[in-house]
Amino acid sequence: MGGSATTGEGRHTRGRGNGSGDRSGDNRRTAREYLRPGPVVLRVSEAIKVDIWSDVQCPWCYIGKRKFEDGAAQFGGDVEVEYHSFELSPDTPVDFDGNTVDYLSQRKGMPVAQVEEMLERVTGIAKDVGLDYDFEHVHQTNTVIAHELLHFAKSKGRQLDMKERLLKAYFVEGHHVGRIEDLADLAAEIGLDRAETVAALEAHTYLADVKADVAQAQAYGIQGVPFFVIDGKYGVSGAQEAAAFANVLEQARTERDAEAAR
Amino acid sequence: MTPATPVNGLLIVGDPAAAACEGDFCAVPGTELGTATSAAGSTASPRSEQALVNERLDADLV
Repeated sequence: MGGSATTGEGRHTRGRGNGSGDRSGDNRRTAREYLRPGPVVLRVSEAIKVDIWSDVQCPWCYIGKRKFEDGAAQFGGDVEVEYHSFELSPDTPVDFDGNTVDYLSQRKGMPVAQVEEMLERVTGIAKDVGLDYDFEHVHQTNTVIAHELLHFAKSKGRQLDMKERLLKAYFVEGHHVGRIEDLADLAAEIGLDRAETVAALEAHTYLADVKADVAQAQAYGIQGVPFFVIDGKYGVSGAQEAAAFANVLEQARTERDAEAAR
Repeated sequence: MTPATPVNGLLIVGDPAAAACEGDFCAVPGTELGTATSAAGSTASPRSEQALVNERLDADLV
């Protein structure tokens, strides 16, 4: 499994990575951060590591992210999160001319009414977790460069903020997340250097890291996302209920405690 | 937690019917399109069968 890119001890303010504020920390986030504002000192050695495979254009990944965050808050312990790349549709052109309805109806031959019914249901589920999906304005695209950006952000200790910004941009705000210039704008919004971002994306500096993540997913046998690997031991697939995440995190902590007591 | 199932070194836990995306198709639980996919293909739901069909279609396109 890809190792954590985090370094040192970080401090975070509250938030789910809305791109605002002076966040100079790393990719760790604790349950406490979801519960109350203010700086948090992390006890890194005790954190439960959670590796998450997901794609930027995966509606269940954003919903699952929220549910996981709620589960981590219920858990109440320290959690270290690292996102990994998974390309659901790597052959999608960057400039596909259409939204999700167009894409699914054209690519899959599904009746438009059926696709719209599906998306309406997903939109309702997203609403339940506080997300305002707007499929009408989604720009269906290839996400490989967005994944490269996530690795670039990880190298700067900002992967969690970048992930949240990309998902919101795609599902809520109707931004294009397949082109370098658009991605650089989003990176700049969370405080990354725009010129440095463009240079890294144009050089495809992090493409190998994206492919390594995909290869690791294949090694695990992951076929769908979101997929959560808890403490390198448990696999959790899909947008589970928050309690399911809390339970497996608690299980991992219990096992750690038992091992420590031996 | 639900009983764990070992898959490629991982113990798969949680609801096997939780919603997920597979290929460029994201199943919606409770629709005619089938139930959600599961981890590492550990179930053979109608959704999983649909996903396999989709993957073959994609392969043809490539």
